[in-house]
Amino acid sequence: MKKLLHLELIKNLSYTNFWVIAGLWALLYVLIMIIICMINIGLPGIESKPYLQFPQVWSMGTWIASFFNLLLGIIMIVSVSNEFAFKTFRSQMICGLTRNQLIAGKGLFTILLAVFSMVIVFLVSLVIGIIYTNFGSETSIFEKSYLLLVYFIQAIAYMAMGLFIAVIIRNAALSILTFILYFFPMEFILRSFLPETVQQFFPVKIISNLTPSPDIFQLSASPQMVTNINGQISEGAPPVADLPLNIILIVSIAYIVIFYAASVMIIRKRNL
Amino acid sequence: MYCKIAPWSDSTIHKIQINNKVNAVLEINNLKKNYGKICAVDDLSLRIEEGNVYGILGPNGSGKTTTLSIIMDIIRADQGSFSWFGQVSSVEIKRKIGALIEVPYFYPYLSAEKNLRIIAEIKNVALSNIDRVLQLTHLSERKHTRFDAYSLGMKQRLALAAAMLGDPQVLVLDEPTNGLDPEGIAEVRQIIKIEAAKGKTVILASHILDEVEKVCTHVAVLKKGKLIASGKVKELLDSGEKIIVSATDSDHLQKILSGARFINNIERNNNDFILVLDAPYTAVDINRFTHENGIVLSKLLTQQKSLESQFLELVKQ
Ligand SMILES: Nc1ncnc2c1ncn2[C@@H]1O[C@H](COP(=O)(O)OP(=O)(O)OP(=O)(O)O)[C@@H](O)[C@H]1O
Ligand SMILES: [Mg+2]
Repeated sequence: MKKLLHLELIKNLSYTNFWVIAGLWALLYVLIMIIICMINIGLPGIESKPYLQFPQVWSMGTWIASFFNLLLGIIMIVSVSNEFAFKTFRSQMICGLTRNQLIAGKGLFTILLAVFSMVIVFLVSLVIGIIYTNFGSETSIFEKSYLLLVYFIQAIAYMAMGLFIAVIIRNAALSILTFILYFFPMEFILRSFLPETVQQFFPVKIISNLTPSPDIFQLSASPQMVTNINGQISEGAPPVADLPLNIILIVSIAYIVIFYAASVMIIRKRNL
Repeated sequence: MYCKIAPWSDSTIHKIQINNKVNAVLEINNLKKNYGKICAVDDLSLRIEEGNVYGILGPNGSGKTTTLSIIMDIIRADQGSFSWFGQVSSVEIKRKIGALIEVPYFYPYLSAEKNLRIIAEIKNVALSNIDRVLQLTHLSERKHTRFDAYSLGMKQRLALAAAMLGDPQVLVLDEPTNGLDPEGIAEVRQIIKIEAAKGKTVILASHILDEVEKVCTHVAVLKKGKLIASGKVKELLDSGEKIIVSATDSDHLQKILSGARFINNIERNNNDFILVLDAPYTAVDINRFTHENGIVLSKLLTQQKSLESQFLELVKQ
């Protein structure tokens, strides 16, 4: 375990592109959060910013972070496709790693990356919360902080999907293209042919619903809009009620397991 | 005194039995691999024993790399089986084997040292070993250079260094001198010889006959995936001297020649006889032998075939 993780660290931490993407992730996230803090300052009408206060800030922080999960998925894609491109999976097999261990190493690295991004989201949200909350007697700082854990699962799910695509396609550029296209038009197109009850269980739908938009945005731009567009646009609640969070969580974890199991199966079957 | 003998003799019997099996470092049975219509490896069986320096010789595309890839588990065979040390291949066994298959594969953006560190960790080898193999391959001075900034020959040396990490019992080398300068080639051969002298088993794939002849004890010749000859290098490649004799009475000569014990093979070509002699005998012995038997030779020629032509002949069959 420790060995596999250490190997991943040697490989990735000396890789410039890894730092570029990871740095981009952190930079963009922090910048967007700062902008969100500033945007409403000039707006009259909304005197306070409830979504920047505890406990709402956890929802806001994780929701914004979820937009950048694609970058985490791309880090994983690049890392896996490099192993194919450099044929280093092959040389590591020759030295005595098993095919399972090749994937396990990526899994451990995924967990590590998810922990780091969760910590960053935690710190940024915490600082913003402290700045914007007017602490009263019944302020509950950590009420919604379980969302951090949900975000953690989501980050892993994105990376698991990235790994799965990279293991199938084996080429960084094509994998990234497939990943992004699947996220935006492809799954949406697939979904629209199916009844709504089935639609809800598609991977991207499930995984992105892990971190729903904070209440304040429900009327404006939000991922929920996408859902509404493909069916009838109704004024009230969507025709099929959103799945409860615990179901979404369970299905997401099931997807993670499926992505890993499928990747292991493919790696075992193919020549390296 | 007597008490000691019983258990002692017991254990020797035991050892002998085990040795019979353990001696086979690698056993390949009826291996087969197809790529579409192309048969890359065709019903190949080999037995490589401890301490052998075993050459796998064959022209380009004869299936050497495919065979080595199968025994290192990176390509799945369609049929057949192989065993290392009498066991099914496993992670533990792999760590006893240092392999260099075809082109060296490393992380291009990592230094030579970091690349070796990855391999050392996989093999559970002490990091101090890295300096040893870098020195052995004369790369110490450039160990902090990125792999992609290495020259072809340096890359090949690094691959050899990686194969030797942890002082493995078996070296599997696929054209290890590929891309090296003459000095490098000599060094690599020297390294192989030193390892062999330590009792290591070396499996060496090559299309260069000269290389196999210089460093190997045993050889298997492949052609289009098929094994066409195998055995000790000396026996297989050194039996090249042919002697051509003729006399006025060919039939009499034939009778006499067939009575000579030291003649391995007789071939008649009209009035000429083409002979292959056993090891220490030469044309002098033939001349003396026929003379003693009352025949005067009208022709006595020795023909030393070049190894190259022998190899080509083997492959042509
Ligand atoms: N991945 C592959 N896909 C299709 N055919 C392949 C593949 N790898 C090898 N072959 C074919 O299998 C045969 C044996 O190839 P192999 O690489 O084992 O030869 P080799 O003896 O190592 O040759 P060389 O001396 O050129 O290295 C060749 O005909 C080759 O074209
Ligand atoms: Mg080859």
